Amino acid sequence: MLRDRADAAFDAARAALAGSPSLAPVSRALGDYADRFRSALRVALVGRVSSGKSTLANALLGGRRAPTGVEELTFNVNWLRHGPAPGLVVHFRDGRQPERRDLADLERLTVRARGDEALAAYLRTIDYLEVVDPNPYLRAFDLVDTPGLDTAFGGESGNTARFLGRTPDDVRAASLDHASKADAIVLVFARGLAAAEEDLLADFTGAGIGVASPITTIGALTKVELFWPLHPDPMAEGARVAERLMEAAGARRYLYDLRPLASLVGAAAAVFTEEDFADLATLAAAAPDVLAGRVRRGPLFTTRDYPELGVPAERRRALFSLFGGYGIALACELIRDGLTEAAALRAELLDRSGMAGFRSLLVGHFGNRAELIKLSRAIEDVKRLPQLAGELGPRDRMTLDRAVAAVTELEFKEHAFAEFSVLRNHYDGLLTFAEPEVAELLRVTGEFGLSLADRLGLPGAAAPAEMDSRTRERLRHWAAVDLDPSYGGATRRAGQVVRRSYELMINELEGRS
Amino acid sequence: MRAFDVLRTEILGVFAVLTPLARRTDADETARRLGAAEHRLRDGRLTVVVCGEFKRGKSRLLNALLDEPELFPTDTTYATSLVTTVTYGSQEKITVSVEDGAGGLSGVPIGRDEIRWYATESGNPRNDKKARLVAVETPNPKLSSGLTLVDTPGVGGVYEEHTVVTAGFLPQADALIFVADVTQPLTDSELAFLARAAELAKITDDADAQVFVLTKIDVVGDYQAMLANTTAKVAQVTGRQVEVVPVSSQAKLDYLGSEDPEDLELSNFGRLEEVLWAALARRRARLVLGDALATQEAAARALLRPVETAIEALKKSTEEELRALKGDLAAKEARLNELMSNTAAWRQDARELLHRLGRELVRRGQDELGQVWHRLDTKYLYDDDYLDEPELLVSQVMADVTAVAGAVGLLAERRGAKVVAEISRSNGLDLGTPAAYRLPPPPVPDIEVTGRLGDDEQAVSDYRQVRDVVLGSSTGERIGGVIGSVLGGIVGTVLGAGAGAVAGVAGGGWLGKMAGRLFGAKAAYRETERVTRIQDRKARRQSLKVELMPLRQAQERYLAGAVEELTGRLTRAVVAELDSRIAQEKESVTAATRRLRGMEQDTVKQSRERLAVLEAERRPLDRALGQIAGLAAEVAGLGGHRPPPDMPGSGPGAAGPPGADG
Repeated sequence: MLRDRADAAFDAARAALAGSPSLAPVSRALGDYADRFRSALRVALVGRVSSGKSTLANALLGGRRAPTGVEELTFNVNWLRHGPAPGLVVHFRDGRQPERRDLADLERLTVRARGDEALAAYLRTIDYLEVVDPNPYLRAFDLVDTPGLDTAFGGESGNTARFLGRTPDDVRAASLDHASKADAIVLVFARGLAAAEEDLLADFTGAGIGVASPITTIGALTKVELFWPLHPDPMAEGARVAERLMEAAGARRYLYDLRPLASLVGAAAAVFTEEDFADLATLAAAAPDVLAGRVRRGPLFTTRDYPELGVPAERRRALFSLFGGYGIALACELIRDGLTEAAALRAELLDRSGMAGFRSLLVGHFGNRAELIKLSRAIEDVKRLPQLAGELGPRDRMTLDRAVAAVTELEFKEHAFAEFSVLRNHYDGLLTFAEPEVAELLRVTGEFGLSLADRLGLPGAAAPAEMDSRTRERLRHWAAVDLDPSYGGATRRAGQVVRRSYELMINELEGRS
Repeated sequence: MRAFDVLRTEILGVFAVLTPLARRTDADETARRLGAAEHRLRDGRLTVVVCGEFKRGKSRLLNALLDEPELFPTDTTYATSLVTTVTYGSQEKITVSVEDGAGGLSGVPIGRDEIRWYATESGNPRNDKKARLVAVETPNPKLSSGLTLVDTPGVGGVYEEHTVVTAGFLPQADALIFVADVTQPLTDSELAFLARAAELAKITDDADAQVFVLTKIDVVGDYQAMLANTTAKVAQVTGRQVEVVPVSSQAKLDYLGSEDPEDLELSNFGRLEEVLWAALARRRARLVLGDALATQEAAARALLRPVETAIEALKKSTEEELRALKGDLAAKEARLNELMSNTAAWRQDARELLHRLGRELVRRGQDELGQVWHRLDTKYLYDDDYLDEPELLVSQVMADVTAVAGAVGLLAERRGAKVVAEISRSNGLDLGTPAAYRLPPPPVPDIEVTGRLGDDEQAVSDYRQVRDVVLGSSTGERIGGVIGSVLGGIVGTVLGAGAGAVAGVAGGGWLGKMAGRLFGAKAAYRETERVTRIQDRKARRQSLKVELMPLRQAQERYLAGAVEELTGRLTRAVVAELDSRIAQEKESVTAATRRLRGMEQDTVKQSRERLAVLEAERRPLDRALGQIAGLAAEVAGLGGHRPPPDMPGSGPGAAGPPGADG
């Protein structure tokens, strides 16, 4: 496996350095990179203040991990990672020992201090909050929820941040810091349209987050549920808006995809109770147009006496704050259409909110390529080591070069990197393949799963013989692509890489049998 | 909304009585003054500018205000990218101003459906069509009393010219609606815009003309937290207690179809219109209506004098009493002849006062300019975004300076009105003074509208502008010309030709020219800008300071020159207005004298008959005066509105069950 070979390369590099005391700092740095490579992939949620990052995190994890609300809320960086038992660890900026806290404190430590000066002072000493969660989804990667980059060109900027009780530079710096340490990024857009399309990514590309590229960056268009009721199918409208944004100048250069998400509905799907379900069922019994008319007037729906709805205002209020107007309308429609089980409603809402698809996109796009994304980052770091090492004697210099080469040569030896560079070329628009070839290229390089069957586009239970014949068939196809004179330059080289990928698959299949 | 409409209609009714009376009695000057005042009232505009970040729902709010679901394009993927104005017109007419490539603008007539192809970012990406302004005239009854609505692109956006244009005409607006929404808290750029608008309002003391709105309340179950959040932020940056009105444009538009009272209630547009009209009334409505009433009262008294004098003469029994009456009239006439002479003392006084005003305005302008540059030195230059994009920095400064120019122009207008009031009073010309009702002194009428004096001066300065634009060698001058005409065009559109505002500012010409020059200097700066991006922060700050120095000097020069020009025009307008008032008085006194002379040979019987005729002649004038007094008292009361409901927890659907929080 790639991981083992990379581990071995790091070990070899450190072993090469062991004999030279003057290279000890370099060795330590190398150790850090190796650790970093071995730890989970970090995916940061980045966006403007109040763009719905926390709601998205909750929807992704299926629970209320991050406090959410209508105001600007998230004060500190929340680092969500997988662990056997739930827990909360506070990491401080001054290097103090991290502090273990009860998970119940999370909200207090994340939300702005609202006038409590002592608490505000404490919050300012926090670097980030580590939230440990047994959610299996976090096995694929860590999720880093940032407070938000505020708008660029703010003039006398900083009011938003001051409102949170921090200086603007602070919030922005904390967000940027954690975003730039991340291996991959989910860019969260809420408004649906920036001042101008050219501005769309200015906040992010201009902010110095070096990793923004389609391989490492996915866009989420949140709050799509708000298109309802103006648009009866808000997801379709969201898709239309997302497509426009992607087509607009530049977006495709930075984003792998921009997915419309009814994130509030997705978050509600995971946490609604049996009582909520029963109330929804009661609401669903009301005349559909009466219900829709009431729901679309949010503040009245949550406070007025509407006996015909059969659910008291207080309960309607709770439902609205959980699901939002569209969520209630959609859930009731699904119940009317015959969903009688809470579990079935959950699954359907996850699907219809776009969250189910977004989850598998993240796992597929980031999770399956985690090793490669991390290794490529580690190699970039290691390449910079000779510059960081400063003045060295000729002997040490040689030792260092040898150690560095042990890691960096993976870039040439590992076929995965050739695939990675084909992907880059694809996202940079340098390849002239037709649609089916592009889909195959993504599949072969692991977009839809890492197993042989996944990479061949076969069901998981496919027999070896079937896989073998499919591989050989595809190999012939790509060999023909290689000979096709209509492909030139980068496209031709990409074809050769895919062909090689199939050859390696045949090796693997033969190794198994 | 009704109050202004109703008062305006009634005041127009008074014109319908007085003007024919003046014509019938050959009171030419009075008839002319009444005609001009009626024209000002009919064409007078109440301008409401809607500002806010992109996608906050400004266009939808305007549609909802006008009960026109589809006037402004509001699709989810559209964002308004041009300034758009809507005024009343008997037939719908939409004109888009497009750059003609020769440094000017030409108007292209379009249909409603085509607005989006010019005024939205998606319909007209990067403004490839070089459109500058969309002006809509439509027979919407809500606009019939002179309301003009202005839709603006988002604040803090990338359209530097629009930012400059918006900043320039902001002080001319009678009310500003600032739009926030419940789905996203106010951002830094919005708050920065608000802070500057608040500072601007302080120059002309108009802070209460700002109306704050929180839209889209229909999409949440409870908007109280966002309302409190928005209110706190706005209060913080404007430094005063504010009412943020929670509204739902969607519910208002729904109501048009459903007629469900709950939609109307949730929309809360009743409250919005109340607050908006109170803001309008406090500022412009009282001015526009007060101007008409003051002219009417002066006219009615001027028309009444001959009738009253004649009645008095008929009632006098002795020759001696009659002689005293005649002597009194003769003395008045002599004094008015004196006032009419070219050497009358008041002319010197007026020039003196206006000269002093001019100096004060220059000083005020320099002070405000100093503030802008102080802000540059202490804030902008420490903002990394600006350091990275000096273009934006310069645009921001330009917007600030243009705003100062607009505010100074407005100040000139108001102070000019005071000069007229003061000189009138000290020379016994203050018939029909609105002061008795605590109304502001009416603005000095524009020379073009009163028809006094030739327009040679205007023509000369227009020529100069054309020459500046044509002969200016740098592109800066040309671009400046376009910006100037856009700004001039907007101010012209929003205020209307006969708005009753003064000399130059009304037509937008002066302000447009000013902005044009300023922007020209800026664009010229852009050409010489040589800031290398790799310099470190401190060095860049320093080099920017040095590079911007000539810009500041150019601004000070332009501002001083422009204020001088403005004061000159103001002086001519003030003198013309006072001359006209004197002429009206003279006309009235002469008519009274003529009447007395005509009665000298009367027999007793004739006298008795004549008295009856005179009493009949007097009745409509007395009635008009009574009506004017009543209307003036009502107009003076405009703008007092009921205080906002108890905070917090205001607005539709606010009374949540106890203990429940969202």
